[in-house]
Amino acid sequence: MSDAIRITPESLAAEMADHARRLAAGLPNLFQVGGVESGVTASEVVYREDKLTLRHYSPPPGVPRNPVPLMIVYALVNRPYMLDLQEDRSTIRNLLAAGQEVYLVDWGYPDEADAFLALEDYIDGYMDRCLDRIRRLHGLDRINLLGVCQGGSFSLCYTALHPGKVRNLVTMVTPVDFQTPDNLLSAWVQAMDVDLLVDTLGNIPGELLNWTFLSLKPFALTGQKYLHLLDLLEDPRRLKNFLRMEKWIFDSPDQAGEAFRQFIQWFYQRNGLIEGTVEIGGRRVDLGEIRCPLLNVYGEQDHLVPPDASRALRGRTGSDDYTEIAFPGGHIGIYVSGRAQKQVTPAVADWLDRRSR
Amino acid sequence: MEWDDWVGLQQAYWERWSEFGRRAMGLEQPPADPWRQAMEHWWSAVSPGVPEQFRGLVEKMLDQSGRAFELAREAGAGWESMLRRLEEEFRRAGTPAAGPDDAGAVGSLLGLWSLPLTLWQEFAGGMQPGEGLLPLPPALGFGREQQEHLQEQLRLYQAWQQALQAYQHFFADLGLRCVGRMEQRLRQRQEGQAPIESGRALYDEWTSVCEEVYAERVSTPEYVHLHGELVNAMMRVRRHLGEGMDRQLALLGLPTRRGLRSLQQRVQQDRRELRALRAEVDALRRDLAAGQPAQEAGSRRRATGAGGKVAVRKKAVVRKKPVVRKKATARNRAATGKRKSATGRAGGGRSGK
Repeated sequence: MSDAIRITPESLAAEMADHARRLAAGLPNLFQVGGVESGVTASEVVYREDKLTLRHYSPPPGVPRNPVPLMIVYALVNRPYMLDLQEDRSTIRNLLAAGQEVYLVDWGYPDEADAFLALEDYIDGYMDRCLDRIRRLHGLDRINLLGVCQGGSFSLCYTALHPGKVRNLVTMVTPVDFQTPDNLLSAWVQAMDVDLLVDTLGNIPGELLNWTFLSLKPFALTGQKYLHLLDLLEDPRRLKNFLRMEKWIFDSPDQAGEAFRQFIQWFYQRNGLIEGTVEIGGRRVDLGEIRCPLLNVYGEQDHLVPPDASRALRGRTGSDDYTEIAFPGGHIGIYVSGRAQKQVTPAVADWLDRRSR
Repeated sequence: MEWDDWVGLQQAYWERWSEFGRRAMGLEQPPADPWRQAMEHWWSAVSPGVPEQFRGLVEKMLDQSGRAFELAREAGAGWESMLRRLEEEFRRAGTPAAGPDDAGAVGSLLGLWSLPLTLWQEFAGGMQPGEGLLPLPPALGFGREQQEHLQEQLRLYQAWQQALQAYQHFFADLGLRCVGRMEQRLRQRQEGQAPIESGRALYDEWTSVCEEVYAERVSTPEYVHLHGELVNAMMRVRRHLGEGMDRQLALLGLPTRRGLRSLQQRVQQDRRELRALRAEVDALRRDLAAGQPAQEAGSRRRATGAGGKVAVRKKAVVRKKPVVRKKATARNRAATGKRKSATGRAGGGRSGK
């Protein structure tokens, strides 16, 4: 029988000395790293309402354009600059390079004044007015819509309720079946009294959501990650990438209480998209009303929205043009990994181009 | 070199390295974890030069480094005795007598196990369960209402304390399972797998074991129930405190949270209705401009979704840049938009390729 652990005082002393040396050597990079900027692609604001901003991104000159613009709807949780994190990891930049004219809905940071914003206000209100603005700008009946995560769920609701305004729909890492057995987030909210939570707290603090997401993998995400930071410290470029991601992870807007209440109760606790029980503004959301071409992109290692939660969309809409892309990565990697830059975004752009001529 | 020598060497190193500083700070005893102390000392010297936004990051890194090396030192000296010590800590934290303070002992597992408890305590407004509350006599006579409020507060605090303890016991049990799984893994290594040869590798193995066991346990109905109970109990305390605060504010003639919520709700409802009315007016104007009889409001909404207020052309016009139309053309657009709305509805969005 051999040793399971072979750490000697000498080897540990050497490791600790090396650790301290690397720390001291890498620390100056933190002095010099400067600001951690994000949202790197130039844009112009074309519409504002309350905390919401609608941004427009133009493809570079000389690139053949898709004549149908694309509106991206991000989740209410976290910030949309994940899609434009840095020059070489930007979903938006890649879409532009592929000739897509991109509009991005930025929900902003709700405060107490927004506590009674309901899903109706987000989907039938803000989203609809943004979409109308773009339709008006381009003189088009219908435009392309891309929803991310919770924004994908919103986009499904929107398209089902306003089928005449959406030409093609793309959902990315979007939960549809909220009660698959491997959905930890869903399990955790089942026994929670959401009415009590929202009535007590009003808006739901972003910090609470942060903690919940970190709790999915607490040891890796709140401990191990920081020990491994040492490996990045000596490389300014990788260090900056880490810092950008770190900034994004903890940049969590509070959630408007009423919308949170409805989203958790209707989608997570009642699985309303599958059961057909979601009502937005008094109108029932029937996925069967979605008849436009539909592209569903999901991450095979997504621990926030398990693949089965997304794949549940297959066969549940009225579309006869349904496509899936399975990406070998996680919830965030699908936007920022090097492989995603080469595979996912070009595939989305190509799919849109083929259906927008 | 033996591990006793190692500690002695480290202590001697520390003594020499910080002799003057220690005197100045008045430290009487050498520290138990010399490397960590040395790094903290080093950090206190260099941290002023690090941008403030990054200090927390480095502190987390130092903290995890210290834990990793402490784990390695103890495991290197005898991993079985280390596992027995951890077992003992988790057993203690899982006893009925254990309270919130025992979360610190449980936190020896990479310092993470106390995270949920810390968070929930923060949401409790910094108050500990049962703090400053004694059993009260039955509520009678003058001040009865206030007395009942305090009794209810006590009851809710106790319920929260029970939920917190149950939660903590769950994590203590989870810790025990982690120790058991780690032991299994180490035994497998004894049977022929490559040994762990660095503090970093040991830390990673321990993290992997903890994540594995954690993922198994927090998806169980037992945890779902405990988690729900903890959140609900916590919120009941918070709500009760808020209601008490509102009562005090009302007595002083100051705005209450309840009142503010009512106003927020009414404002939002008014805004919603205002938007809907504005959409109706826009649509009516378009109808008038087009010289067509105004549709009934309900049918217009059904037909166009959110209000049918967008003017669109009969055929999509491909443009290289977005075009913002001038107000002067609004009437013309409205006229064509009305006609196109009907066409778009008939299409039902089926065409797309």
